[in-house]
Amino acid sequence: MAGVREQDQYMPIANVIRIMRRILPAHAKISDDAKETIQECVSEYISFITAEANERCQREQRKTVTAEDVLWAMEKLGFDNYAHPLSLYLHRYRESEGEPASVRRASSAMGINNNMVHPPYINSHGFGMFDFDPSSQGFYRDDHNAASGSGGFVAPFDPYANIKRDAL
Amino acid sequence: MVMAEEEESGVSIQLEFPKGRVKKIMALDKDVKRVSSEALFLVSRSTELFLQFLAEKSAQVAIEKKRKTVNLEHIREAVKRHQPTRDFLLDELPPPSQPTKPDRPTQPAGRPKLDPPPRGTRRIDLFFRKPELDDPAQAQPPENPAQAQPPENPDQDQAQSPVPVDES
Repeated sequence: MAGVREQDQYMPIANVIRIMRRILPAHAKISDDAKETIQECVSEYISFITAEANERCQREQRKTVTAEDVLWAMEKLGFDNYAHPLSLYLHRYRESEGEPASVRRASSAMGINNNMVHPPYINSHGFGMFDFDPSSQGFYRDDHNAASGSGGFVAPFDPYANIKRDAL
Repeated sequence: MVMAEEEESGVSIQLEFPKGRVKKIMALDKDVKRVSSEALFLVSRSTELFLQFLAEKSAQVAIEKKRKTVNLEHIREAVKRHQPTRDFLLDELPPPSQPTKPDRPTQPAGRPKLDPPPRGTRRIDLFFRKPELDDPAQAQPPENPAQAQPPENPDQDQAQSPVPVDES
């Protein structure tokens, strides 16, 4: 049990090494103690961000940590250079969540067209996120409506989808 | 497909880290009650960015020191150079004295030191006095309880006479 618990506290070393190798020079090597230390650093980072995001969540008397809490935590803790790329990722993620599977495949097939359409929309929404501090629920609805408009189709939207996913 | 998507859009929602593991690490904080799927996604992606940053800076330090292997000292130096990372991570790194064993922090060995109590001293003296008392006791058995009295012992010792003069 102790071994399993110990392993669960860290990210899998294979994933860690794979991402590091993508950044490191081709001839670079990583010592064993460096690998272990990096594993611990990554877990420490997750706990650090989580604690800060959860603090804001509880201050506002909410029970579910939201994406906005995470973005806020990173800015407060000094990792604001991550905020912009992460907001892009978040929009992409929300689009993929909202679209049906068939539409997702169609979007993948038309990769070039999809790429041309998305940048201006993502940028505008990225700015909007930091102009005000909306609740996750409201923002999700706005995002979905905008996505539907730009996509030229009307996808079924469940206002309780977020809650259902949280319950899971 | 994944590679093509990354190259075309530049923004991918494919995660390198398993979400389940990230969720377990976030749940180590007992205060965290629930985490939305979007927050979980953001923390996972943010952790990847942090790992890439750490790998990049560690590689830079290794190159500056003409090394091809990234080791613990390079990671420490990289952490020191970035204030936000330094704030939460420098104390968590293994101590410099033991770079080869980062998972085993040194602890001062507890040495129990028992000071000789006054009672112990008395007992030792009493133990030594018993053989001296036994010799006269053997010569005069019926007067043994009288000789066993504590206040008379030093007098007899000083006089060094086998006959109990005080009582006779």
